[in-house]
Amino acid sequence: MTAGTTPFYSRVRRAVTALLVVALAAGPAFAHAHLDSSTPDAGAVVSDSVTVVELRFSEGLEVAFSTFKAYRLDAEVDLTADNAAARLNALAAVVVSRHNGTAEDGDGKIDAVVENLDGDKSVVTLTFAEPLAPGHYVVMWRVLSVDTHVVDGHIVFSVAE
Amino acid sequence: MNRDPDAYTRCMRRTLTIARVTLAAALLTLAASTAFAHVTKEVGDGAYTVVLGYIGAPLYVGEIEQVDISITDAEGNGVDGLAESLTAEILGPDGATVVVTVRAVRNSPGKYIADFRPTVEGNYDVRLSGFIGEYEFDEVFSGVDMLHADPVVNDPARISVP
Repeated sequence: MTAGTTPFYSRVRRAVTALLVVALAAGPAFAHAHLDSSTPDAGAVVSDSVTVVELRFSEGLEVAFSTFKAYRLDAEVDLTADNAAARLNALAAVVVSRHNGTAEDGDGKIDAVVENLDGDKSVVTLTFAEPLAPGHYVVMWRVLSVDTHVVDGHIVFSVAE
Repeated sequence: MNRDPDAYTRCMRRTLTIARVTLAAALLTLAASTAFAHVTKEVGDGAYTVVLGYIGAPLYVGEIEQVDISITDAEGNGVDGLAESLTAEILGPDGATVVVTVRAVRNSPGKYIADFRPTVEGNYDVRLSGFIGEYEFDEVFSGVDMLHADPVVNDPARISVP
């Protein structure tokens, strides 16, 4: 190899990398590590005190490379109204868009200990220092599946008076 | 093996140029596919902006067509996770309507899409309603304005051969 070909190969590598990035970005959207169930359930109104949220995923997660956050939604929503779920989801969507997977936590984040349940990588728990006060909450995640795919999502639930 | 380094370098440069042109063409094609006319409306006195358009114009009877929805906040950041809070209704000719599913576009912040299939030629508007953040809204987006075409949906017989 001559000294003059080194930058050339570097440029080829950059071009190929750019093509691969475009091809991967335009690729189909496969589902990975989706949420199977949770406690509380998505959309649930619970009357018992909540100190732990348990998220059960369809496959194992790398917690160390994932983010989980919980926020209280500062709004009064009539849970008996037909559009209550849509309203709560819209409030949560704004919080999720601002804070999910970002380093910016903003106001209202509830501190929680995040860990896998007894070594089961498909189950993640968020344990709060104190029971959640009555109100509406969103728990969001951006996770790295063991197959290296990144997936995000959120659930909303309410704690009754 | 004897090889002319200059000829080899020229050949590889030509290959690199072709790769660059191909990449540029691919990016332009991607950009052009979503660059059709859209209509913009504000929600919550500018707290959020909703932009609607049709993808894949011109539209034809019998084809699966798509409404392109983009929602951003006041800083221009896309708002994700709203699919369950939005209702899209296609307002077709002669009062025909259908509510269609709104779904998020993966890895595209604030982008949503809704499919529908027009069955007659004419103008098709889109009514989008629901909630964004703390605001409720209900807006009708004119198909003619979104597409700058009248009718919005054409009869494919006009371009059919034989």
